Amino acid sequence: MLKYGVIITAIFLISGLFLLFLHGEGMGIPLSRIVNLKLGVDTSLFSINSVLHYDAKLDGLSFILTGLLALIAIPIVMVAINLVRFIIEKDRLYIALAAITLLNLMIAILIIPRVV
Amino acid sequence: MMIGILFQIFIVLVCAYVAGLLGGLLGLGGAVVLTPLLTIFIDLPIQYAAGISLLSAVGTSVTSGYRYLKLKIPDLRIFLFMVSAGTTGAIIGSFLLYELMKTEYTWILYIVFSIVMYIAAFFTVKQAPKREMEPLSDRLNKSKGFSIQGKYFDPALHLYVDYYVGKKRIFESWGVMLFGGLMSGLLGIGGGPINMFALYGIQSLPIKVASATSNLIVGVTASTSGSIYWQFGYIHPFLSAVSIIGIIAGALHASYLLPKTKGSTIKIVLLSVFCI
Repeated sequence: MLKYGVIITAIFLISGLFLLFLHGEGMGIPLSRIVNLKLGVDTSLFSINSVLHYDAKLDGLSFILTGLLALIAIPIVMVAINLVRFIIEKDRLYIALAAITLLNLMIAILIIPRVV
Repeated sequence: MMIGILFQIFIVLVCAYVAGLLGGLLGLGGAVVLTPLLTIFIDLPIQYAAGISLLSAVGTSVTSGYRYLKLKIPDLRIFLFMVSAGTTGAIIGSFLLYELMKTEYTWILYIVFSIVMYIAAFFTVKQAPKREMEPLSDRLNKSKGFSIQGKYFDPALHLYVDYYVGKKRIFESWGVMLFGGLMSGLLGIGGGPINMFALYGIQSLPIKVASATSNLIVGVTASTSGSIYWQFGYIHPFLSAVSIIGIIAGALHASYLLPKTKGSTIKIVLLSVFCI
């Protein structure tokens, strides 16, 4: 499972870099700005929806962002799979531990950014 | 300009490869190695370097993770114990950070953290000898009551290595991980050295099991902080992409090396990283 996650991430990142140089821009931002070390691109402006929207246009930057999002999602999926595994094994202690972890992850990803 | 960019890509790739290799071998996630390399060699602003390091930590974790899982080296029960503590601590930590940022005592955090690192290093050194082998009968006698037991095949020793962790040790390390998560939430790091302290220093797991399990834990904590950094706008997409490609290559290499490396070699490298 992890293996496919890594492969998907790598494919998106590498093709994203190529597309970026091919088009000379990504998501309406010029290449010189994207490769600029000091300024960078403000990731907080991109929602998942807008990234997927640009993916359909074979946009380099959105491909890179998709790869990064896929990477972040892998460990979360891994905990979820473990939850399912221990539910099948009916091991209550580990069901509880996995559930606590998933709940914490959801709090961190969905709630904290809104509060802070 | 083009040549400048290509040169940058090359440097970042090399740094990331080295970080992936070390991170994968030591279960540190690579963030500890990559942040200083990037700030020194390409003069990258610290928040971008930290963002890249977090994502790279996820990269190292999942890349070496899948090889280790296939070889059944990480212990998933211990993993769940530790991540449940680590993530709980991380959430408390981020709220504490939020409150602390309003005051002027932020410098306290950095001092506390340095002290924790030195204590972790000290205990790892103290515990270092007397392992690799121990008669099975001794372990079976000790394992009454609740405990986690496991074994893995070590190609370097050509043996199955058994281990067990008693109840007391599990709860002690759960406490350490709660504290480690707290620190990680406060400082925005993956917390690899603290994992290693909990797994190797306290639980006395064989170093390979400790480092492979720590690897998975780092992935979970770093992806949590990574998504928060994303919301803060601290992720540099272009450099992250280049770094992660390098990291994946390095971590892949590490995961082929780890089963063949002797435990003692890993310990020496681990200690030298602690010293830096």
